[in-house]
Amino acid sequence: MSKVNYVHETQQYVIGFVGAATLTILAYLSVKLDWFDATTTAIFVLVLAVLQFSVQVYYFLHLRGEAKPRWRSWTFIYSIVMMLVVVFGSLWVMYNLNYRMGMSGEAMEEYMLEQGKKGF
Amino acid sequence: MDWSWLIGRLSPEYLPKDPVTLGAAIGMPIAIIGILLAITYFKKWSYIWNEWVTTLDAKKIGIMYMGIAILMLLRGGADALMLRAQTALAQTGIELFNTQTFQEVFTAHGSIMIFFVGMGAMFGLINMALPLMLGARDVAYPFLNSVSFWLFFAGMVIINASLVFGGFSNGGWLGYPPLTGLEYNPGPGVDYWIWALQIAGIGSLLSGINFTVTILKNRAPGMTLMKMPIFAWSVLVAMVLVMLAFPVLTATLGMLALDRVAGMHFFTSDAGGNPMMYINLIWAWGHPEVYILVLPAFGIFSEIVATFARKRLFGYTTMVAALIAIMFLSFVVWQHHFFTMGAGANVNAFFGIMTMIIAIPTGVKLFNWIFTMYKGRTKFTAPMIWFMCFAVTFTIGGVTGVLMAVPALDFQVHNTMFLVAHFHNVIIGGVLFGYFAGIYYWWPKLFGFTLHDGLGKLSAYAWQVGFILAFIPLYILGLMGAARRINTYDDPSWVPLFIVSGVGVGVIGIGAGLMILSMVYSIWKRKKLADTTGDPWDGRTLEWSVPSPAPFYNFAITPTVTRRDEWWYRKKDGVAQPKREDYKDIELPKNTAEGVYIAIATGMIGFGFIWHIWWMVAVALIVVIAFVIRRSFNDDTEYTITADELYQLDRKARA
Repeated sequence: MSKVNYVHETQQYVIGFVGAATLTILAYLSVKLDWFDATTTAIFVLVLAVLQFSVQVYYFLHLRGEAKPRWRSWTFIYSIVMMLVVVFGSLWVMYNLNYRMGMSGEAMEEYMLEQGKKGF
Repeated sequence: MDWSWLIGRLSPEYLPKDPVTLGAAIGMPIAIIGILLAITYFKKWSYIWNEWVTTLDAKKIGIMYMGIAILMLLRGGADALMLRAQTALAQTGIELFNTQTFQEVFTAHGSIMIFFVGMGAMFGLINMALPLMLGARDVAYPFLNSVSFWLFFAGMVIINASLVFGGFSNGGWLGYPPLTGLEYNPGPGVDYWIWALQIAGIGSLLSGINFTVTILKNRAPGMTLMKMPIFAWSVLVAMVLVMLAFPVLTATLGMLALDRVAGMHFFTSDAGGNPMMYINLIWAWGHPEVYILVLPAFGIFSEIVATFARKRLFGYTTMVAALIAIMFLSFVVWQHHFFTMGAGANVNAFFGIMTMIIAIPTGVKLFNWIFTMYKGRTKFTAPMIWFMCFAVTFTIGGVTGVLMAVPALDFQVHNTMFLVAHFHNVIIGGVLFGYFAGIYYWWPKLFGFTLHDGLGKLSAYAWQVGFILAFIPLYILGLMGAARRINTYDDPSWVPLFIVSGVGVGVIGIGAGLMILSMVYSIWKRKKLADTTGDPWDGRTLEWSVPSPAPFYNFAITPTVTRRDEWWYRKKDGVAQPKREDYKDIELPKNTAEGVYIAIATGMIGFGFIWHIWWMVAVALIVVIAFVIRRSFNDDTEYTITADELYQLDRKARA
């Protein structure tokens, strides 16, 4: 690797690291110091998560300007697809589990939390 | 004085009490001390350290994986024998174990067979054969390979240490909470299970990355993906599944561990936790896992059938398509493991149909092998006998699998002996038979002599007969309603079937014994069975182009590939003798013990968590990080063999 390239790569990593760290700290502080009310906090943290994801992909996974065959891009796309399948599949399965109990999802959640408070 | 800051919760109350475990607890340390003394007596320490422990040679790492896997097969097999002896004898009034021990034994049996036999043998065979098949000098990351193996070894030590001190988990091989939660299982047993799997699992994940990169980057020049042997394809798909599935396992076990040590409530029934989420997540790993195990076995059969039928593999492209279909489908079927947990008809129907669909690519493979044999001049050697046994057994297992994919029927057989019979049918008949075939097939490449064929065939027949005796009765019992994981049943009419099943396990034991015997006998007669050509089976792929045993540098001259089954066609065209100027300097990784140190420290992290020795966790974690950093700043990791030396070595190896 040439000297210029090396310096450039290092710069990219430093930017990525600082970016990732900042976003993490912001998320932590927003919850810890109660910057916003609950809903806004949730949205804020989600936005930060999306930004965090982009930073990771851009600076660490090197998905830009890849030469053919684009293994990194393909593995990345496959991972994302499978992750979505598992995440949304799990949500679908989990929210369907109360089906035979004749309770809506919200009623179920409320019931679980109530039971939790009793600490049975 | 309170020593708990130093020794955590270690205390004499955890010493084994009942006679069976006590025997094992005394026997195992004595055996280990005996082995260590023998090594000292024969002055083999430096040989073992320099040639094996610190090696980065994939073939040697593969042999070590395989050795551990065979050892663990005997341990897990002994567990199985005890379980079936218990169920056969329970109603006659002889009780081998109480309920707790019975539960610990079946948990150990399942965990060991999957993680330390299945995964161990799989990575063993991949390490042995894959770089050679690809025409590669080594795997992409030799050091990572060593780390993976030693992490696997550390997990193995932890799971066996539970036998001596503290007892094992009683939660089944997947450890469902709330039974494995703190409330019902405060002792160290479940922690042993978690940390053995966690450490071995991280090793598997690293291996998955390693082999994926090896296949994508280290192929010989000219070997495009569609010119790779099918074994390499099957490993590629299995390793992609490893990379995606194992993080799920790590996260799930991590959350369970946090529940247990940090008072969290991910999977408790109270405080907002949900144990059903654990079941969902563990199977999101667990179902890809069974394909991870079986796909390399399919790859092995593809090579074996083509070699011994002496025809090129029928339907190469459909084979690849089937593998890729499985790569996607294996991630959308996991819910079929818990149809009965309460999901509605839509969810159950979706996953049921997906499960039926995944049987199609698997069926395609089976027909491809049969068509490969059709009109071939098949040589029925031991690996082929394993294939024949596989074809029958696995088909039965597959058919019962599709049967259980019908949710309505699954409600009847869920958690019964029928299920137990089904998954043993596919795991023994598919995975184990495949790996055994692979051992017999590649043994000469690793050691320079073939295994005795007659004994190998006998072993295969014994396994097959034993298998039928052991598991067909379980199908019948399961249909009659015999639930699994119970140490005694009340129905006297079931006793004969349980006795047949127990006898079957005994016959399988004879099969395993014959296999060990064939190895010992072949080592004894190694001169007579020597493989002088390097190509004892008239093989098709590149590993047979190098002398046996394969030299540590794999290929003196990196081969250039122009077609599938390169070596087969080269033999037809006539092999040109390499000239002196064809040889070039090569670089090989230096031996290093850092992988061993990292694994020892990781094992100590696990031990610290199990016994709540927090200072040990902290110190060991720092040691791991320090070694990783040290290794990454070490540029002096390779040595060179000059062209002259290589020429001499190669001439000697070919002589």
